Amino acid sequence: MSRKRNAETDHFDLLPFVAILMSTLGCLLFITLSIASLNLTVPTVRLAPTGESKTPLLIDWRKGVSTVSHNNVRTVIPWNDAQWSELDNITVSNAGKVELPSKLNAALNNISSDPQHNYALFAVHPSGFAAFSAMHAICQQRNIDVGYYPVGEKDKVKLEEASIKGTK
Amino acid sequence: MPLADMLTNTVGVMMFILVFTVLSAAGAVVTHAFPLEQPSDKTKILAVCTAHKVIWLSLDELEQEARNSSGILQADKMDLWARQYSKLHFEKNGFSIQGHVQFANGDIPKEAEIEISALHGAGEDETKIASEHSSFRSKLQSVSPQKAFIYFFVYPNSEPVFEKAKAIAENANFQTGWYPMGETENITDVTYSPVTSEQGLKIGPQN
Repeated sequence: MSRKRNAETDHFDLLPFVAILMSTLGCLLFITLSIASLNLTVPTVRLAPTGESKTPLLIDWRKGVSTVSHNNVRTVIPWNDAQWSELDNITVSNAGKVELPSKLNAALNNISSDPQHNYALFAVHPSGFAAFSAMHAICQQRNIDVGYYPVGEKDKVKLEEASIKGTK
Repeated sequence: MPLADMLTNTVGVMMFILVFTVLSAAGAVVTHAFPLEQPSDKTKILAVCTAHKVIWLSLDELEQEARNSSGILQADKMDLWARQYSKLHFEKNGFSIQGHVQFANGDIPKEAEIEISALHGAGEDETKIASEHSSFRSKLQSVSPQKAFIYFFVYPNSEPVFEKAKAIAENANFQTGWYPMGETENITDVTYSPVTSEQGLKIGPQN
């Protein structure tokens, strides 16, 4: 009689353990999948030097906002729609008339102060395609060399470490 | 108990795979060389990347067709020519062409241009251009990389096909350049302008 009672009391129920295990792993899976999807949807485009003697100043170019990266400092420069529509119709001849946001103007002045060693490197996002020809004309009018590369709308853009020395 | 073991092992293996995926994804970096646009004396061979397809663009052929359709410009019949040119519309080589004329004073044309837009479904997609007998590759084989460079007009959301076409052209030793086009923007080619008043953009290869 006592033996039978001991066998009943020693019984170990696995169900709560499995439930806790499954819940924990379920949460971990959810977190892992979220991180994976975030990483997969925002790829990084890294621009690497090719032996050019000039130092690039990276300008992330999209509609409504451009971001200038200089000496590891990122300056976000917003635009308004009126400025964009004005920029749409400019050519190299009349590019000088366009009034740029002061911070972007300062960045271009920094490049044009030593055009032999500096140039503007644009990462052009699809939303910035339409207005880029205006920016290109402004750079040519100021005798600034340019390079430009198409990147996805959500892509992050980085320069290789060796090139981030700041403009000379 | 064996059920718990199997369950734990299975989920453990799944976790390992997912962690590996996350770590791989975090390092997903696409590296490109710094582009720098430089002037070139080489002939510019044009292509348009739009709606996930690539189409070769021959301005000479389109201009010739426009001349054939609108007739020869004569000094004493400029107004007639301009009116005819304004009505110009044809389709050729996968493009729809529309003529436009700007007038200076009255009926005197100041500038005539053709507006070029790609026809729906024209061109070759990423898979086609990769094949041996694609018209993209055939055209590349017909020109010399020493004498010409490839210049792409790229519309939004056609960057993947541009990347593919650019890689094929560069593997064939061509220099390449590109230009971003607005979604609703058409390519315009000035075919008649008696006065050059505006300085156009200088464009060239970037590698």
